Amino acid sequence: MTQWKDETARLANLSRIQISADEAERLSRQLSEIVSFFEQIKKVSSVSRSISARAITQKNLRPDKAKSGPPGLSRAMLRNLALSYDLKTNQVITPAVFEENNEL
Amino acid sequence: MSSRFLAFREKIDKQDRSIQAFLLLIDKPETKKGLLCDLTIALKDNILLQGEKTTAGSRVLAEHIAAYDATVTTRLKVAGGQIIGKTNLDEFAMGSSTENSAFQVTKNPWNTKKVPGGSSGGSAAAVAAGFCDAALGSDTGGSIRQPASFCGVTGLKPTYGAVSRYGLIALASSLDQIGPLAKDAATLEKVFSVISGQDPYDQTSVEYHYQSQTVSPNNLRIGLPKELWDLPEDKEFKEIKTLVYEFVAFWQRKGATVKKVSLPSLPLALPAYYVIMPAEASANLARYDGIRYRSAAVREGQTLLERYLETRALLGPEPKRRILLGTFVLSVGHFDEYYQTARRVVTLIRKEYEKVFKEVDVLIDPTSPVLPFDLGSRTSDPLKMYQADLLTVGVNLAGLPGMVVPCGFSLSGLPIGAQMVAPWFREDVLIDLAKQYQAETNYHQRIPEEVNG
Repeated sequence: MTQWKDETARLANLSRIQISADEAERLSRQLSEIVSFFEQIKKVSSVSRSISARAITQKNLRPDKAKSGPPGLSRAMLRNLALSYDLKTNQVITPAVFEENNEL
Repeated sequence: MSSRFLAFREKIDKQDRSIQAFLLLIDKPETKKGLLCDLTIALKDNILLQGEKTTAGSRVLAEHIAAYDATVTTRLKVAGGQIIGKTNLDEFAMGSSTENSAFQVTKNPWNTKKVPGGSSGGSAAAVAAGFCDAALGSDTGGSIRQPASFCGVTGLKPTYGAVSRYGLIALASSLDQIGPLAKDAATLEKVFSVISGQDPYDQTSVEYHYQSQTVSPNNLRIGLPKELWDLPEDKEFKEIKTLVYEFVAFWQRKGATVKKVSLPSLPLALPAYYVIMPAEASANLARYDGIRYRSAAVREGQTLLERYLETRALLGPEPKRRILLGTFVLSVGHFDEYYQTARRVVTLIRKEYEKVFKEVDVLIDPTSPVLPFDLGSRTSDPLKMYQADLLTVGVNLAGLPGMVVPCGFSLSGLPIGAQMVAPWFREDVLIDLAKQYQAETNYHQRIPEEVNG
């Protein structure tokens, strides 16, 4: 909650809105609840990102070149894809496993 | 000025004190001959009417005089429509109950202890109370359809791009759409045929010529989106669903085929909407800085920052909340996490609607999961208020046309509306179905006793 109080103050300052202490208290509680409600959309994020990851890796990678990484994709870009594919086993692997198994 | 106009004015003078639908009344409207010359029309107070106050229900614009007519206003005037006044709304159209207006709280004509819905609650209440023939509203997440359902009137949210938004005070530009409300679909059709079509002043408007058509119910394929019908059921939603299902059964008896369809991403429409709408609203509201629009907070000798802060201090709690939310989701670090993800949800929803409309001609579902609620009962819980938009926001995200038709009354005497959704630019299907239904039913003709004694 303290984190949300600070965040509310930051947002109010950025938005040039002056809020009283009471308002800040109420708004921080409400914003925290509403943003928790937003979290649902992240379900789509992981699903569609895994689809993108599959599309990118399948398009750009041949299994024999998997170790050396796809051309044009940086390590950071690959890390940012929420999920990825092991092309040899055709299994979904997490970014952490990806980091361990692939030396770009 | 017609005798009809004068009769409406007299009625408003007598009865609007208890409803508070109007923020401003016009004494002498322009009169011209045309398709709408027998109609008296009200404008939601976020639509510009030259030379008159346009406040958008906000103290920030309390002194703002419109410098020009919105395109829809011009079109109504040219067609002979007589503008009778400006109706109340939630501040900057942010709300689902019209309780967020800075000036007054509009009551539901069917029960003045209940809300009329929002944000076009003033327009819906004015039509329901018999204060005008038709009214214009704006719909960003259900703001025409939900109040139409709550007040027992017919309302149309047109396809995004079908009606010019030039002269509409913007809330969320990728979602906003102006549309008509009227007692019956025939009157609504007249107004829609006049206000729709391309406008060089609005680049999002498209070339579109509305033409009436007759739909044969025999060939009609109706889809019932299971994500909207199979919500957790309480007593109220069960009652609403029963009456809307009666509406579906009406078409079945006429030979239409009915099947359940699925739009799997639709449950994510509400959270996606409440990411995109505040993001766009926070950007749109940045223009109210005390410099570009006349503001009550402006004084001599203020610094620029003081002027800005004091003008923004005039905003009510809901706009403040949405500006902060918008600033949050657009912040570095959250933009991808929330805003981009929400845009991705929109793409998924649009694709799912495209797919479903290959199988059916029209979708039908309830407009709201709740009946008109008590005044003040949800104001302290914004999330609960936002959830009243659950069944309407998907249509805005996809840019589809949606229409609400009164289809019955609850045991407590409150109106219930069925929502029909058609493919893009198929308002003709919706309007014709509504006309056919209203030719055989009288829910749309009933008059609230509360105002008419």
